[in-house]
Amino acid sequence: MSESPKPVAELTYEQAFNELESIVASLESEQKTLEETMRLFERGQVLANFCAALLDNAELKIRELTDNRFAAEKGDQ
Amino acid sequence: MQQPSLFVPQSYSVSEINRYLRELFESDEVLSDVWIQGEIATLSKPASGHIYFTLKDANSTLRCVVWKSAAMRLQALLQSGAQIEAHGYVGLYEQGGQYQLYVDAVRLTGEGALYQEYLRLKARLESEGLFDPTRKRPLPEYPNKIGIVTSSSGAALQDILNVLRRRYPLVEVILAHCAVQGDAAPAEIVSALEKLNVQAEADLILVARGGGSMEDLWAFNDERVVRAIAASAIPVVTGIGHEIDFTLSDFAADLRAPTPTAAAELAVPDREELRGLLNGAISQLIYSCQAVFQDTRAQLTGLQHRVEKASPQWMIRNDRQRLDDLSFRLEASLGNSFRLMRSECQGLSKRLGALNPFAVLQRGYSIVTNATGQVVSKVNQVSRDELVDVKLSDGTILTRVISVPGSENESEDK
Repeated sequence: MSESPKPVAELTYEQAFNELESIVASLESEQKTLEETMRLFERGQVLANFCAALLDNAELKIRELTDNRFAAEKGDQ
Repeated sequence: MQQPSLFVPQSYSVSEINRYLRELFESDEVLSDVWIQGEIATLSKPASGHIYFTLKDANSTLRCVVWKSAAMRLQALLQSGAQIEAHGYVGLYEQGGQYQLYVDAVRLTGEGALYQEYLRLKARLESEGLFDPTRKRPLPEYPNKIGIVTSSSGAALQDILNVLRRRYPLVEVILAHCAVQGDAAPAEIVSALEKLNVQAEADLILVARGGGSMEDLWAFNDERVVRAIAASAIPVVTGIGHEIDFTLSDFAADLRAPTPTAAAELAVPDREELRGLLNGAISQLIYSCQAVFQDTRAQLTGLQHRVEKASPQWMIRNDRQRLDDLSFRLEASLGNSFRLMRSECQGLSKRLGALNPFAVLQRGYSIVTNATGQVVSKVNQVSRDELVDVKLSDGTILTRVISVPGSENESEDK
């Protein structure tokens, strides 16, 4: 866990879920102060809610790669 | 064969002539190693394991037999009505007196040539190590962007999108359209793969096409396509044709799925399984924190009690109670004093009433007062003709003094 965690909304599902798992693992393996436990619990709740919302509300996004777009992006690089 | 004698024409047994013919067939160079083209008719696969069929063309038929040893290998290609090329030797079945083709190899006409090419290319690419299992990369567990190389109008795309919507709609699909059959297909497939690689947006690529004939799927055996798949920096999953179709692209891919639908299923996790995992993690989170919270709360409650006992507030409350107690007792004792004083007061009042001077008037006494209101108790306090008030029990009589003993009367008497 980094010192300044990324805002949850910027995480991918994988990142959020992995962080949640590592929070649980560290809570289970080490004795924490109450303050640290509270902080981890709150972060864990936010992550869990975020993951659940992603699973519940996600809509498949589809876009088509066109030659124009490809050319434009190549030009940018 | 000997010439018949002039006198005794020699006859042969059926067996003799059939054996003669068999030897004749077998000694013929053309007949002993031949490919014959035709359509399979009257196919029969008895329990013996041998396969019998006839090959026919527009005008003729030829009996064919496949011994059990070869039948296992060839039977998939031997379908009634199929156009095939059969290889073997033409010999004679002595007992039946019939010649037939003893088949040891079969290839499908048209596809036969393609298939040979397929095998040659496969062997060459395999020797280069293109299909090496150690080249296979693991797929991302939770892909964010999936590039799909297929025809935008094909059923394969819809199958894939349906699976992705159901299982893992968190993913973003980048469709790289290409022709999936025909002469232009290989170059377009290669271009689509390269575009997805150059843009480096996708973390997984699906190469897909619905089912079709070997020719339909041929673009996926094209060397350029196979090499492009092997060269892709992004892991590739193929889902081409049906379960039974193996293209060279499949061998080059990091993972081969039997169909487009299966490719999509292998590419993404299932939302329902993720929900289960997530709920498990949430339960663990709550469980592991609960213990800490409960311990802390118990400690806190214990400390609270101790602090309360030691705090001035507790002492104040304690003192306060004592004060309440004292004041209650004070009030109680004061109340007693008042009651006592009140009854004393009532006693005094009664005694006072007994001393009321007016009380005696009831018994016939009267009180005399002079004009200034002074009580007259001695005769020398009044003079003759003085007006005095005589107070009786029910009123006052104004009275004139007629005589006062021992004053003017006594001097007059003298």
